[in-house]
Amino acid sequence: MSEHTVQVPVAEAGVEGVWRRFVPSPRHALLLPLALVMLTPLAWMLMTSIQTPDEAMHFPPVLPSGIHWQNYTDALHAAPFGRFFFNTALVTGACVLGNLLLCSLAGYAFARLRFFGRDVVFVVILATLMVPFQVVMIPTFIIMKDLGLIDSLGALIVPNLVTPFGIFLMRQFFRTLPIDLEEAARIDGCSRLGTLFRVVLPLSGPALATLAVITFLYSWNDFLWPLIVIQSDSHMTLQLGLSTFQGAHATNWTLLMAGNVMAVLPMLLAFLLAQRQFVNSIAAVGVKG
Amino acid sequence: MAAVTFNRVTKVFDGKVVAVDGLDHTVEDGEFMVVVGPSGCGKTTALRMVAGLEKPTSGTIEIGGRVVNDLSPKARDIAMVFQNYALYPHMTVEQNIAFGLKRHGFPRREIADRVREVSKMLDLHDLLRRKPAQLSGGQRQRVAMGRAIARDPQVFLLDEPLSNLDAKLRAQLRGDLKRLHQEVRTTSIYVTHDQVEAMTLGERIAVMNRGRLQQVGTPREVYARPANLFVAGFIGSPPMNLVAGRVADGVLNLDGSPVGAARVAGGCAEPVLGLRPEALRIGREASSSPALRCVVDVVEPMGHEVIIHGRIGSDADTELVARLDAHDEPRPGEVLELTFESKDLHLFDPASGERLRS
Amino acid sequence: MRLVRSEHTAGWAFILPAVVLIVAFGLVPIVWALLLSFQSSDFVSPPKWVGLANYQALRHDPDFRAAIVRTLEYTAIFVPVVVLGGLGVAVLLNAKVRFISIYRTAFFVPVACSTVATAIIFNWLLEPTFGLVNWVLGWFSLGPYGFFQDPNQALFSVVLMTSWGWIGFNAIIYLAALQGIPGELLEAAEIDGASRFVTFWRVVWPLLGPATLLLVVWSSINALQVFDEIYVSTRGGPLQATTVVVYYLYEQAFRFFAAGYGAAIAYVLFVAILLLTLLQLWIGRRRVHYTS
Repeated sequence: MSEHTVQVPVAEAGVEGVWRRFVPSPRHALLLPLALVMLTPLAWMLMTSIQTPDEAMHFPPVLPSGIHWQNYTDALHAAPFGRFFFNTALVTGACVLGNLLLCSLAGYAFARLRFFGRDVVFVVILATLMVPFQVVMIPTFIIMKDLGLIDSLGALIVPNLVTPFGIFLMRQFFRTLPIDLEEAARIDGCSRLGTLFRVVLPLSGPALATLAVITFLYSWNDFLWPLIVIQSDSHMTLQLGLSTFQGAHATNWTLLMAGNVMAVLPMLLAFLLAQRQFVNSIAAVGVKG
Repeated sequence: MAAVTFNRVTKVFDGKVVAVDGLDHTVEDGEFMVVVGPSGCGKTTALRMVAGLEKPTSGTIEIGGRVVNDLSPKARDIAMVFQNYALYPHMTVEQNIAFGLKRHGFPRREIADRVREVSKMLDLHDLLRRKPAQLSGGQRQRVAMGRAIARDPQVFLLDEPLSNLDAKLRAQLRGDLKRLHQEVRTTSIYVTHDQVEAMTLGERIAVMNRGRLQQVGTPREVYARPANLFVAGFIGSPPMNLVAGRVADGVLNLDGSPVGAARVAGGCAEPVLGLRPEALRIGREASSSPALRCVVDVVEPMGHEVIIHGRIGSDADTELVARLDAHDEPRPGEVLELTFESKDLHLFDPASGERLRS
Repeated sequence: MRLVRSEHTAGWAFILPAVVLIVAFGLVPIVWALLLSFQSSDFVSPPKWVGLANYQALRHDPDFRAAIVRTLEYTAIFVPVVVLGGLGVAVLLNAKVRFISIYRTAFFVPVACSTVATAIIFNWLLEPTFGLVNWVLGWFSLGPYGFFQDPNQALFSVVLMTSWGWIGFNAIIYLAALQGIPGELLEAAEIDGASRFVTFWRVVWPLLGPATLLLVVWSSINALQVFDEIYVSTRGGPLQATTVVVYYLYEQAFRFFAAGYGAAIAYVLFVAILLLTLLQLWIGRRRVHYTS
């Protein structure tokens, strides 16, 4: 048999291979250049961040000759990136935890409990999703001012401790779980809260992960609200701090890129390490829509 | 209508997995050929190569005398019924049936005629405006068949079309398929893992295992004269009993009991002996037929017959299954004398698995 | 009865924290903003009731009209680019080729880059004198272009910048949708004799309907609200070429401290987004097939 086996290229066989009709082969010929183009902005940012100012301002552009760490130390001196990072981590951490807890509680109640006004309240909550942030930001700013929370991390955390979307997500998920387990827990003497924490949440990994990722992405990259509410350096988040940094050093490209790398690195790393989770979460949200 | 020929067709995936190995076979014009075998035996791959969904690694496939290796599915004039129906979910039944006809360039009037004819044949008239999601499994399968029939192709290819249906529907649709084939007489290749389906549907059966063709023949032939151990064990339910035999002193023995002359074994010293459960009978008077002492372990009453699981042999450790008449009322623990006719004894070479000529 | 009452209590106890927060930071501000839009306020002195004066002013405000036009232009270009771009990328990525996971990472990773960081990178890439893009365009005898510094190109440059991350995002969703289409359907189409084009147009595209509708709506809403990247790159310029509605709102409310006026702009934006979304959903419902 082996004598007359023809050497065929590794073909995409089976049912998945049917998609190859739509892309001229080899696929790589298209994918590779496009992928490189997609990566160019990040690559160029990285390269500029390790160049000397002379190298960077050289036209035509040149590759870095070595690693000019000075840019990074300068950036760290110019702006408290460590502080920015800390603030952002605190705010984002609080928002993620808050959402996980509060959206689970509320989502569970809307999914499984029967109480007066349940459906009306749920619809009203969902309706607030329709209203864009720009509408609520001015009054919320006034509220924060009146509460004396302007320029504090509290102003960033409190309004974002729970989101209607998160409640919707958890409710939809809980409804897909078989109710038998919860009924068995109740019969075993578990309180409703206990059922939620001991039986339901352990089974809710995917939904909780999705909620965490979406909240993380949103909170970490939020810009407009911190811009409005935070004024002093010590309370700035990473995005706001980065923007202010850019305002102060607009044409110092090497310095700017070094700062940019530091600001972008945490999220990039998180994404690369947990790419599957990120992608699945985004896709899951797409399905719900 | 056309014959389908496989000429030494081999399919290797990823340079490693041999799905089909040197398949050499012809499906005659107008024949209903069932290709049967366990999962992974290559039957679906072979079907897909006829369809043009896979390309043979070597060898040629001919449809109607024309080598089709390099032809697209469209150019081959074939139609296929998929296991999961593959109906376009966003189109109505009518549009599903018409889709392929439009692609092949049939004029509008003719498409309408064919759709009408097919819905009459398969009782789809009330379903034409519905979408697949609104149909039951059986209805979907009929639509899938209708789609294929409307095309009036040279060859029908069916990939386990009934395996997603419940037993009752399966039986019903089997009948429909047979009836339709008699009406339409298109060359058909039907793939299944269910040997009952194969036996009831096929004009001829092709048994495959591990990429290789084991035997081709009518259901009767494959049942009565299995070509090797695999076919013997695969066709027939409950499966054929296979026990070790020994030739000694010119006599062929089955676990100690003489069952025939040595020459029957065609020179093999320790042939594998096969006996179908239905070939065994309870021995009455002393006769010249060979007899086996069987200790009954389990009795399964089936209404008109009884299936017993027991043990034979001097050590009573060789298992045996027999189908007996219900009136015999065998009981667990009983010791029965089972006889059979020598013509019902199959012999196989233990090394090659091939049937021994006597 | 006791059981029923305890369920009411439990239910409300569970939702109370969320409800309090959503009322305080959702419902109350929504209503407050509406009221504010009928007032004149500078955040400090007590607000004055002015009825519809803000809205009248908006109707005649040439800068606001210009901002609307800018925003619509931006949206009209952005949405097709990112939706079709996302589809194209998803089709390319829907394969089991070697290195496919690396390719996917390459297209998806921009999603993790924040709006601010993206803007800073593109400021540098599109820098007219030293930027990489003008240099590459020079190989093909194109450019050099002013990009963010040219009033005629600034808006397109913003599209370029924002679509970098959004194409990847949309590709993720389209890829999931593509993988949800059973391969057997495409095989049936192949056997039915459909060409690649017909298969895509008559089988794949209709089945992507729900995903397409979602992405069009989502991208539109996002486009109408674009702000961050513009703030960091062009600050609404040059010469107001990139002053979109939300940027105009920001200026009015937090630079010129016209809270009432800003609230009115916000409500106009809200209504616009609502109407556009309803329109798109209405068109979509009639033409999109849902498979489950």
